[in-house]
Amino acid sequence: MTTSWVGRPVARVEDPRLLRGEGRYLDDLGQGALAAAFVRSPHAHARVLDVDVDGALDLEGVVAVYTYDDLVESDAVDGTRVAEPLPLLIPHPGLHAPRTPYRWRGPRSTTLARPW
Amino acid sequence: VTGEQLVPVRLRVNGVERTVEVPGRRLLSDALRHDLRLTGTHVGCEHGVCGACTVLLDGEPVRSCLVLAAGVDGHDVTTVEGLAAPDGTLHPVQQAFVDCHGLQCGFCTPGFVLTIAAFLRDDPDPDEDAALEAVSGNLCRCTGYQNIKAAVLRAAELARERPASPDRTPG
Repeated sequence: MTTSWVGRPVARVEDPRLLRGEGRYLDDLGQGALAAAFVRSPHAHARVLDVDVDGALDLEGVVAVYTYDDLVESDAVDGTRVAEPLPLLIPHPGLHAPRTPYRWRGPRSTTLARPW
Repeated sequence: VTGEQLVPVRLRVNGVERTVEVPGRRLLSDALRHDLRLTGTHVGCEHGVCGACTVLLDGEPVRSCLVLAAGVDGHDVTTVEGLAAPDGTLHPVQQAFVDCHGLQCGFCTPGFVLTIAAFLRDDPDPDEDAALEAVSGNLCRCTGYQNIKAAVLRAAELARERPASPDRTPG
């Protein structure tokens, strides 16, 4: 069997499904789905020590409330990896360092930039 | 929830008698997608421009977003789900789209396929200009239309090659 795909048409595996009307586009899903609401801290800079969900669970129509603790449990029980911290993202210097030998001269200048 | 009055609608969808109870303002496209759960019919613009929601009403292509479900009581509707043969064999137009790479994301495809199926029933041997004109009422953001035009001509060829296969297009 040749390993080269160059120069040969490659049959798309998804075509028959899409042509039969059996695609699963976002708007095709969710029939009978529940609605979710995300609650964030009302404080811009604070440490979340505890989340009390009792009052929320008492509301009529509320099916479930999930907090970070549930993610930890999910990881332990189901082997998911949803409670892991986000990776520390450090932008490459090339993305924010000046790319030209021009310097910002400050808002009082009528000339935005000039060669240094 | 709204206390809106419901209208019973009996219609034949892909050969099957169906009954839905819908508000009078329910679009045929929404009745198909939400009430009958036939999500193969796609709603693109919802005002008759894009052609993605095209279905066959008594064999003729219509934009189902411009038709009220209550208006098709007693009529025959064919959606993309009803185009392949009962044994699963793709309709010549569907097969032609595979052969000619006539789709990428596939969102507009059901509307194209039904439009072309009805067109070829009336004009089984179109030339290139006629093929292009036939799909001029449908928008596709992926393909650039050249492969869809090729698929129209290929579908005509396939239909001639296998005339024994039952044409499930009504009318």
